[in-house]
Amino acid sequence: MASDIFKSFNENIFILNMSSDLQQLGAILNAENNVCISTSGLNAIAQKLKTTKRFEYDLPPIEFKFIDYPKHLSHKNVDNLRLSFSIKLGGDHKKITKYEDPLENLEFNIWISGTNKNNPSSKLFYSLHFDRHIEGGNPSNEVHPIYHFQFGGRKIKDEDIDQGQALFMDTPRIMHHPMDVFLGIDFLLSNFFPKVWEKLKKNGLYNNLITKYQSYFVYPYFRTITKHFEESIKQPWSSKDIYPQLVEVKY
Amino acid sequence: MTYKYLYIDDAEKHIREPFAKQLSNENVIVIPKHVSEVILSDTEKMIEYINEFDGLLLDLRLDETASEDEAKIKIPFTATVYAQHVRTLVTNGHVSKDIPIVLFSTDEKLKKVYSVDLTSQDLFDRYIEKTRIPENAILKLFSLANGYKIINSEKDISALIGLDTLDELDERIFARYNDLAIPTHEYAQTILKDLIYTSGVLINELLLASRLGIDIKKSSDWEKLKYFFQDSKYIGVFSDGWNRWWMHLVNNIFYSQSGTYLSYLDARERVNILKKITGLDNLIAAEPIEENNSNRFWTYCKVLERPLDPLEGFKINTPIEPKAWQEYDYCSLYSILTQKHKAKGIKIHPSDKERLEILRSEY
Repeated sequence: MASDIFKSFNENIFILNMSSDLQQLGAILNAENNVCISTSGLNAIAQKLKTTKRFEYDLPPIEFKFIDYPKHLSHKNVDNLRLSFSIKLGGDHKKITKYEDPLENLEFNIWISGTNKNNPSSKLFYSLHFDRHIEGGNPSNEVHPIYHFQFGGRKIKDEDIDQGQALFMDTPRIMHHPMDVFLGIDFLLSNFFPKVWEKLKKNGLYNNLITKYQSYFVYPYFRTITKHFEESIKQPWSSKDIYPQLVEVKY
Repeated sequence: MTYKYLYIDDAEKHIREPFAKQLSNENVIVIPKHVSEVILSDTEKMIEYINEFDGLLLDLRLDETASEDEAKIKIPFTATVYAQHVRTLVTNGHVSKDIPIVLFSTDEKLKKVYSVDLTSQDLFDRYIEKTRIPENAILKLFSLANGYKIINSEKDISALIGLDTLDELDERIFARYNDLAIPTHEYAQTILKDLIYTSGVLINELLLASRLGIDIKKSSDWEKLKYFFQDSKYIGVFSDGWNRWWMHLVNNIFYSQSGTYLSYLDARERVNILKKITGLDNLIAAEPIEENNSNRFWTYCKVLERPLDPLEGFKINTPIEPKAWQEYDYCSLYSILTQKHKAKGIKIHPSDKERLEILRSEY
């Protein structure tokens, strides 16, 4: 059954399929013009993939506008709330069907900014950072699950805002399955724009896209963890890279 | 109710008249005239024609054959000039009634002129191929005339498209229709070309079957199943000529009975649920087309007219790119490998060509 999941996988046209899929995603988001301000960035990377034929892209920030504000905002009088999303990744797609880590680098940022109507000169800012840990890049002792989320992240330091009483730090790095541009957009829509997400989930084309990229980036990740508990043999992808706290199981 | 079409052609009487007869029945009467008999500069007469007739049928190249009488008059204009003049007379308020304009030409001529230069496409409501007149051509002519008649006296969008609320529709579709000065033909063309002729908010029968996961040919209860979704049927103007369903209402009906959405399920799951909620037994789930794997159907192969997962299909190139609320048409790999797409004159969208070539080389 497991191999069935990749029955449509064709490594020769993987990049071209992804390019075509990105155009489809762009068109789907384009229909939600009240929320997604411009999808031209998606089409630009779709175009670029066709020329480079390499599994790597760098999506410049695309913007989403909040129509309904998220619940329990820390500030009451917020205006002009918008979310930006950027993602840069590179990898080797041939590793997907081998259940190995398909990516070599990944950096993904979500940041939200708004105006505080009570104090228009003070900008409101929030950010989330998700990346693939750069091996050897950060010699701290804290655990670094290979794919992890960080709240705050570099963006908040770059922004040079008044941090007031809020405290920010790098840890904890919360493990999460890898996300490419498709899963990244699905992540942000489901979390921040639930009404749009509900609508898109009724669209078979959108669901087929997400299903496909989940099989590429979610399935091998969790399969590795499950297998860790099921058999002692070495997995194609080291389970301890994914989840450093895992204790060796021996049968 | 009988509608009268004025049919203008430069072809000789013995060609014109059989065409006119072929396009007439008890509901539609087509009256042929040689183009030299319709004088564009005679505004009074032109207005008279618009008032007298319910539609206009124009041959594309009106400038090729001279009149068969002794005068041998040859007209230097094509259909677009006539159509533009009629549209202008209506827009300028010279006549209070608007009529549909249908292009009637051979595919070959059409490809040379009409498909290359898009500027004139907005003038026409429909195109009928002379050499292959479809069986339902008269029905379409009737529906167009009837629809125009309705729009001439009703400009409320909700009433025209038969929806209680426009909330579920993309606001861009009817964004410009808040001005009473907009003529009937603009309303008609937005409804025809943005909703009925393309898929998106409205879907045709093949798309309905694909999304319900049904193999129409094998499912003897298909008609009954369609009736189950009766409340999602498009009942607005031109619905007497085109069978369409509102996708958002199809979704609502399915969800209200099953608690899940079609998009979440593959064809077999959809059909199993449909059997349960309708009590219909003779429903068979469609299988993927040869060379395909997915049964998460959301479109159909335009060549084979069978359900298709768009991610396994190839986009068809059309003269005009779909708008934000419209979808591409697709064809399957198998229809291309077997060369069946060529007979239908289908061309693959440039964005899918390279992908196709690589796949093809694997066969």
